[in-house]
Parts: sequence; C-alpha cells; structure tokens
Amino acid sequence: MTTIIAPDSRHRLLTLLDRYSSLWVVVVVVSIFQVVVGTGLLHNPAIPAPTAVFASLYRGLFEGQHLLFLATLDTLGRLLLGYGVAVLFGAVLGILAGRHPDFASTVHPIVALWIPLPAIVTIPVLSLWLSADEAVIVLTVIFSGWIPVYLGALQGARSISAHQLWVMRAYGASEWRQVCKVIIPGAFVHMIPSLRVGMGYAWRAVIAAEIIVQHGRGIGITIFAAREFFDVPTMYAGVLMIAVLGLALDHLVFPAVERATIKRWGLLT
Amino acid sequence: MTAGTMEQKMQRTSSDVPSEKPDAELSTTVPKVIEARHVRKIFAGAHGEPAVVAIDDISFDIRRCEFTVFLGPSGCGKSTTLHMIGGFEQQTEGSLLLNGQAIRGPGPDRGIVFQDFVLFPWRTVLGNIAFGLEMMRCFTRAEISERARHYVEHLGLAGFANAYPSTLSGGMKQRVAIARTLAVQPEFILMDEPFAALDAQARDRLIVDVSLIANEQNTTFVFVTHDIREAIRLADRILVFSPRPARIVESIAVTLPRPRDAYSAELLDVDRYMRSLIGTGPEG
Repeated sequence: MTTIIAPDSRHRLLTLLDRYSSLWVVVVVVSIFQVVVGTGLLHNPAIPAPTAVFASLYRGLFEGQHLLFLATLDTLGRLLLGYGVAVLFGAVLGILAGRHPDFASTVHPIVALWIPLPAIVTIPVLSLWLSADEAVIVLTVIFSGWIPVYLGALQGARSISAHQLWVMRAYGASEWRQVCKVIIPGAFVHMIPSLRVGMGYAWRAVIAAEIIVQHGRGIGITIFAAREFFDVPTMYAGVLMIAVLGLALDHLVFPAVERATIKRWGLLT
Repeated sequence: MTAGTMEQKMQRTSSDVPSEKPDAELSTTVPKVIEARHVRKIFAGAHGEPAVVAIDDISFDIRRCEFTVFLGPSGCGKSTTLHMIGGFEQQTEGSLLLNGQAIRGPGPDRGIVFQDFVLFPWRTVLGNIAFGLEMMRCFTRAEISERARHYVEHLGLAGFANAYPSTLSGGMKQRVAIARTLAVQPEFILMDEPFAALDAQARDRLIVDVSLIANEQNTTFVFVTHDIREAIRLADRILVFSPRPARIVESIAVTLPRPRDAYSAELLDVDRYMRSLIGTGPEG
C-alpha cells in the first residue's frame, strides 16, 4: 500500500520559495542600495536609486513612445536572426566535419584561428565591406555564435557509434534520409550545452555590435544614448533588461528544450 | 555413453571443412545461401604497428534456414566473419558469396543484432522497431505502424510501445533490437553475441524466444557466441573457431528439436561432448 500525500498549498509555497531562494539575495542587495541612496548616505550621480531605475524601466516599456520596449524588440530580432543562422551554419559545418575527417582537417585550421577572435574586432572590417549597418550587427552575432555550436555538433556527430552507423546503413536508405533519421538526432543529443553557450555568445555580440555600430534602435544603442544625456537610470534600466532577458532565455528556453528532448528520452537524469 | 546415441544428437562433419566436400551429411537438396572459400582477413596495423591476421583461411557453407552458430574464444575473428557476411567489412582474400553473389555491402536482406543493442535513444520502442521499415521507403505509414505493432506483441513488449529505450532493462532492449530486425523480414538474421550483456534470466528467456522465432520463421540465422551452452541450445550446426588467427576446427550438427531444455540429459550430453571436443582441439 502506498500513501499518497496530497500536496497542500503551504508545501507548494515553501518549495517555490526554496527554488527561488537565490532571489532573496538580489532583493536584499537592492534594498540596501535603496536605503543607502534614498537617504542620501551615498550621493553619486552615477549610482541611481533602484526605484529610479525601475521607474525608468517602466516608462521605457509601457509609457510614451515605449522606447525601451521597441529597442528590446529590435535587439531580440537581430539576436534571433543571427543566432538562428549561427546554429544552422555551425551545426551543418560541425556535423560535416564530425562525419568526414578530410573535411574536418580542411576547416579546422580556419576554425582554430577564429576561436580566439573577439566578435567585435570583425565590426570595423565588416563596416568596410557592407554599407548596411543592420547586416553588420547581424553578421557579428553570427560570427560569434556559430563557434560553440560548431564544436558541439562536431563532438555530437563524432559520438554516433560505429554500430549505430551500421544499423543505419543496413537498410539501403538514401544518404539524405540517413542524415535526417540518425546523424542529426544523434548529434543533437550532445548539442544542447553548446547551443546554450552559443546563445550567450550571441547576446554579448549583439549588444557590443549595437554600441559600436550605432544603427537604428536597440538596447545597446539605448544605453549608449542615455549616457550622452546623462540619463543614468535609463542606462541601468537597459543593463537590467539585458540581464533579465538573458536569464529568461537561458533558464526558460533551454530547460524546456531539454525537457522536450533529452530529458524525455532519459538521457539526462 | 555409446557412440550410437551420440550420433542421433550430433554429427561431427569434418575437422577442416574442405571446399570440395562440404557437409555431405546435411541434406544436399537445401540450397547453400552463404559460401565462404579460403577467406582471410588481415587488419592493417595503424601507426606503424604490425598487421594483424584476424582470420586465416576459413571455408564453410550455410544452407537455407539453417541456424548456424560460430563458437569460439573472445577476439578469435568470429565476429569479423559475421561482419563480413553483413557487408560491413570486406575479406582481404578468398571469396564470400551470398546466394551466389559476392557481398558488396550491407543490405536489408541481412538484419543484424549486436551485443550492445544499438537502439536510437530518441525513438520510442515502437519507433525503434519501425526504424528499418521507415528507412526502406517501400511501406506506407499504415503498413509500418501495423507491422511494428505486430512485432511489439511478438517480442513480448506490449505495454512498452511508447517507452524510450533508456527506461528498459537489457533484456527488453535486446527484444526491441530483435523486433526491429525481424520487422523488415530479412532473409538472414546475423546475431553478434546478442545475449552476452544480459543477466542469466533474461538470457534464458531470450534463448527460448529466439528458438521459437527460428522454428516459425523462414530465416537463416548466423549467431556468434563464446558460450557453449548458448550454442548447443540454439544451433542446427556449430562451427568451432580456433583462437586468432581464426580457423574452423570443428563443424558439429545438433539435431535436437528446439526449444531445448537447458537441463535435459540429452543436452547435458551434448554439452559434455562439446567441452571434450574443444578441450582436445589443436589450440585447446
């Protein structure tokens, strides 16, 4: 006989508090800042009161011309476009290199040279090539994001076992079908960490590129423009936006992908 | 035990199967489907290591619907022989014919089952069983689903159709792999130490189930093992391999009906006989 304990609401609240216990640290630090700055103990124009930052964040998102909201949309657009292309490019190249040693030995020296390059050094060169600033930002994101994805796909494609390849080949299916049914899923099961790191790279690249290229709207541009007007709370609001969005993408999207794939398949305990 | 009673259960055909006189004792009306003649396999040494002679001149015939077991010590080259029949590796010398044709690569006419199951973890049990059918592209969706479901039942996997392989025991995983192989209804089923990684109970049940499948199916089985008891419970004929470089030192026919009771007096006799044979073999 098993006794099933009904989950009562108090128990649930406690687990929730427990899960987000690290948030308390943030709340405490922000409160201290609020007290110190609000009471005038610390008076430095570069350090705004948290309430001023939240107010600026609220205004930017929900009031007037929704400047921060629109900037965020544009940044996310560039990020997702660039990241999408980076994933495609990195995965295709990585899987090809993982399955064909000759191809790997051809592309590897180029990749090895590329890895230590910070994404932003490509911006001046790209600006010379391309007249469209938008393209420069997106390309910077791609150049930055594809490397981890490539390395993950390479490793994933290499870890498909010889026997799995034999079983795959035994039924006389076309190369394309073999790739779709075995190689891509086989590589994917090892790729989620690299997809995650690639997203992190892409985030950094998009903000850096926006700040340097200064084109259109974007969180990076908002932060930089706010500096010109010495609108310090807006600068912090932009930084907060980046941090919260980055955290949300990393903590919501990838665990969801894991739950739908490798966790469901029992490959992650 | 007299030589006469032994004779009913097994026939020692020849100690070194010659190409001119293959298996005169077996019915000559049943066509040969696999013919190996003076097959040698040499693995080139990597990074300056000397080449390894894995198989040194083996010849044998396998007849239609025969259950042949390659029995030999670990690393003796019996698996390599099986892989060559599967078309995954090629002999260095000699000829290996499948239905009279040289083997040019793997094909859906030969299903293979490995010791390590080789399931695709992202596919359910049903999806794994349907894998071969999907790859072959000559079945409709309905046919694939119907056949896969049939083999789910057939291998005793009912209730697990939508489970993922990671949740299954070793025995269940191997059932899935066998079902995947059976689903495309191949002419040959090649089994490479399929029960070596299983616990004794799962192994015992699978031996019985494979026996039943072999009885009802119109399929030629080639089964690799280093376990004498597995060999004698399953085989119509046992080819005994020497340690590397592989040669075939014995060819023994076992004529007891399957499934065979592991502890029947007859099988224990065969077991004793096999052990004495292998014990007195040239490489002992």
